[in-house]
Amino acid sequence: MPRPGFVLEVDDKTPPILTVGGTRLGLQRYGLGTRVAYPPDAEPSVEPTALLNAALEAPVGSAPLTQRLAEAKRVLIVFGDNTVPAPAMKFDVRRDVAEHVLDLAARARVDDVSLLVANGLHRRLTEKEFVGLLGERVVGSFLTQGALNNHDVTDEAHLVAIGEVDGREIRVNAEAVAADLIVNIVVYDKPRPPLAQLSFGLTDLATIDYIGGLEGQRNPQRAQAVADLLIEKLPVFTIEVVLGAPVFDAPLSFIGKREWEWKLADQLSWVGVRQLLAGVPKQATSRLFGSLKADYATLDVVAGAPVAAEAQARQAWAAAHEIALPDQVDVLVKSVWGVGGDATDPVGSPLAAAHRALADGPEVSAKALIAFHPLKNRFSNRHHSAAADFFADVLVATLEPDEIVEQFQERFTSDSWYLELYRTQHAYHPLHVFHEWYATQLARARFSEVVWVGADRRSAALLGHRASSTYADALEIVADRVGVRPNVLVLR
Amino acid sequence: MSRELPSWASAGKDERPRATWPADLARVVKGWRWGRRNTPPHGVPEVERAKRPPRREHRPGAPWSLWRQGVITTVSGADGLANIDPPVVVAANHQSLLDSQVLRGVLPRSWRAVAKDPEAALAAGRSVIVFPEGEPSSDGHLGEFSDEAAELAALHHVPVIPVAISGTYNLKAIMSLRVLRTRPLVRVRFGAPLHPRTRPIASATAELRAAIADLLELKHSSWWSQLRRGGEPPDPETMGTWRRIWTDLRPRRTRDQRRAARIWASPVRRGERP
Repeated sequence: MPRPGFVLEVDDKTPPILTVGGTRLGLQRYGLGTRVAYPPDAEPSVEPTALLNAALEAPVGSAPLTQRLAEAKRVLIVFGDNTVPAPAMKFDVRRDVAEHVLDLAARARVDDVSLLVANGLHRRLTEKEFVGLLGERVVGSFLTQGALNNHDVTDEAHLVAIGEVDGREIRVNAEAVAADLIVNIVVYDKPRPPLAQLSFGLTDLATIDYIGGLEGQRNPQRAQAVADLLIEKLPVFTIEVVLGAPVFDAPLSFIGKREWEWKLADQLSWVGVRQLLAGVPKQATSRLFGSLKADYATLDVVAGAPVAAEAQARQAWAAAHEIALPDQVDVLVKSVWGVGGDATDPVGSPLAAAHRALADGPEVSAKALIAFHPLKNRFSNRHHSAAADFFADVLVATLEPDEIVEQFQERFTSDSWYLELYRTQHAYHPLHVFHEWYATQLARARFSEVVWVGADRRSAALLGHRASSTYADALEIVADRVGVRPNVLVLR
Repeated sequence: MSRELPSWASAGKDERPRATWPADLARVVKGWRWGRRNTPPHGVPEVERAKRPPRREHRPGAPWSLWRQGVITTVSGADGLANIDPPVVVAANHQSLLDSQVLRGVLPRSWRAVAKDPEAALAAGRSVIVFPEGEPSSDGHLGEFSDEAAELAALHHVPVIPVAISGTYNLKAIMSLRVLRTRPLVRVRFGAPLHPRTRPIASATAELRAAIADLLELKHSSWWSQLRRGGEPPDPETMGTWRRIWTDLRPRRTRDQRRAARIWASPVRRGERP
C-alpha cells in the first residue's frame, strides 16, 4: 500500500511548493497557515498477472470468466480510449487484461471475438494509438480482420435499439447487442457515473445528449436509468483495474516527490526541465508534453457483475486515494497542468483547462478558486475545430448553458464539416465541447470568483473569469469576497 | 447579441523568460542545507517512503557480434517484452550453437540472461536461456522438448517466453564462405509469455512446443489465429536439409524493389479507417 496522502499546514519550515500550469513549472511560496493537500505516494507498477488471475477466478456476483466464455459463441471486448488515465500509461494495463482475456477465450474455443473502443464523443483512435493501447499482437491479429473498431455515435447502420427510458429509445452499438458476452475492461482512476464506459461510450448521440447534456447533468438519475437498462439487456462482465497515482521517470521524477524530500538531483532536474521548457519552441514543448507517459501501480483488480464490481473498485480506490479534506474553505488553489488525457491537446486549451479546474477533482466547497494555467487561445484545427469555433463564436455571445443549448447546440452538432472531421479525421464530436462547457458552468456556480494566475486576459474574460499576474495579485482580487486573511486550501 | 468584454481584456503576447536557470540555480544554492538532512515541515506524518526501484521498460538490443561477422538479424514481437518483469525463462528452438549468442545479443541487457547453471541464475534474479530440445537439431526441424523450461518456471514462479530462431541452421558454415555476397538473415520472434506454475508440467511443455512451432510459421498467420488453434501443433512441414538452407539464403528484395512496393498503402490505410 502506498504512503497515504495528508493535509499539510504551511509553516516557516515549509519549502516552496511545486505548481504546474499548462507547461509552466514554478515553485510557489504560500502564506503561513495555508493548507496543502498532498496525494498518496505514487508507486511503480509490477506485472498485474497474479491480481488478474485471482479476480477472474473469483469474480463478484458472476460465474468465473472461463465458465462465461465456455457458454458464449460471440464475445465482444470493450475498453475505454486513451484519454483515461491522464497522463497516459507507460505499461498499459488494458493490454495485459485484453491478452489474458483473449487467451482464456482461445482456450474456451470461442471463434467469434471482436474488440471495440467505447470512445463515445471522443476522437476515434488511430492505428498507432491502437498499438500503444493494446500492443502489436492484438492489433496485428484483429485490426486487419476488421474485428478491432472504434464506436461511431452517428453511424445509424450500426446502432440498434434495446429499450426505452422515459419514452426515449436507447440505441447501442450493434456488435454489443449481438454479443453473447461483453467483457468490459475499465481503468478505474477516479469515480465516474454508473457503467459510464458503456452508457457514454457505446450508445447513440441522442442517448449521450440525454444523459450527458445540460438536463442530464442536472438530473443524474437519467444516467442511472440508462445504466440499469444496459445491465438488464446486455450480458456484461466487467473487469475494473484500480490504479495508483502516476509515477514519472527521471528527469520528471521530482513531480511525484514531496518538496522537502527533493534531493540535489531532483533540484537540478527541476532547474534543467524548467530551462528546457522555457528555451524550446512552443510546438516542441507541446509535442514533449503530448508524448509524456507515467507508470501506474495496479492497486486492485475486481471482476464480475457490473454493479458489484464497480462498488468494490470504488471502495478500493477510496481506500488508497481519499484524504480528509476540509469541507469548507475560502479559497481553493489548483494547478491545471499540461499532461491531460488528450494527446492532441497536451498544453490544454482554455476550455479544457477550465473544465479540469472547475469540474474535475475532489469537490471542496469554496468561495473563490485560483488556478494556474496560461489559457492560451490555441486549438488543434483538426481535432478541436468545433471547440475553437465554440470559444470564438459562442462564448462571445453568451455564457449561459440554457441559451447555448437553445441557440447553438443543434447548429454545431448537425454541421457536416465537424461530423466529417469526427468520422474521418479523428476529431472530437462537436457535442463534446458543449457537454464540457455545461459541466464547467454548473461547477462555476459553486464559486463566486475564479482567477487564473499567469493567464491570457482575453481568454479568462471570455470564460467569465479573471486573470492575474501572480498568486498574490489573485488573492488581492478575491479579497473583497473572502477578506484579507482567507482560509486557503491548495491541491498539490 | 454579444457580450461586452472589459477594455483591458486583450490577448497578451506569450512572453516567456529565455534563461531561467541562473535564478533557479541560485535559489537551489541558497535554499540548500549544506551537510544537513532536509527536515520535513511540522505536521507531516512520519511514514518512510517505500523504496522500490521504478519499473523499467525492456527493449531488445542488437547482436553486434553477429553484425560484425556479416549476419543481419531481425527481431519481431519485441513490444511484448517491454511489459514483462524479469527474471524469466527464455525457451527457444535449437538449430545451431550460435543460437545462444544470437539470443544473448537480442535480449534486453537488463535481463542479464545466461545459459549456464539456470537454477543459481534464477535464484540470483537473472534470466536464463533454455533450449528444451537439448542438442541442436540435425535436420533443422523442431525436435522433442524436455520439461526443463516448464519445471524451472514453475519452481521459481517466473514466466516462460517462447522464442523462435530461424536462419541459424548451418549458419557457421555459411559464414565461413567468405565469397557469398548475400548476408545471411537470422529471424528472432518473441511470443506471448506462458505461466506454467499452475499447470501440469507435461501440458505446459506441450504448450511451449506448440507456441514455438507457431512462431516459426507466424508469418502465415496471426497471434490470435494461432492462439485459437489451442496448442495443437501445425502440420509438420517436410523439408529436406538442403531446402531449409536454400530458403534461408534466398535473395532478399533490393532497396529499389522495396521502394517500389511501398508506393501502395497497406490495405488498412487505403481502405476504411478503423
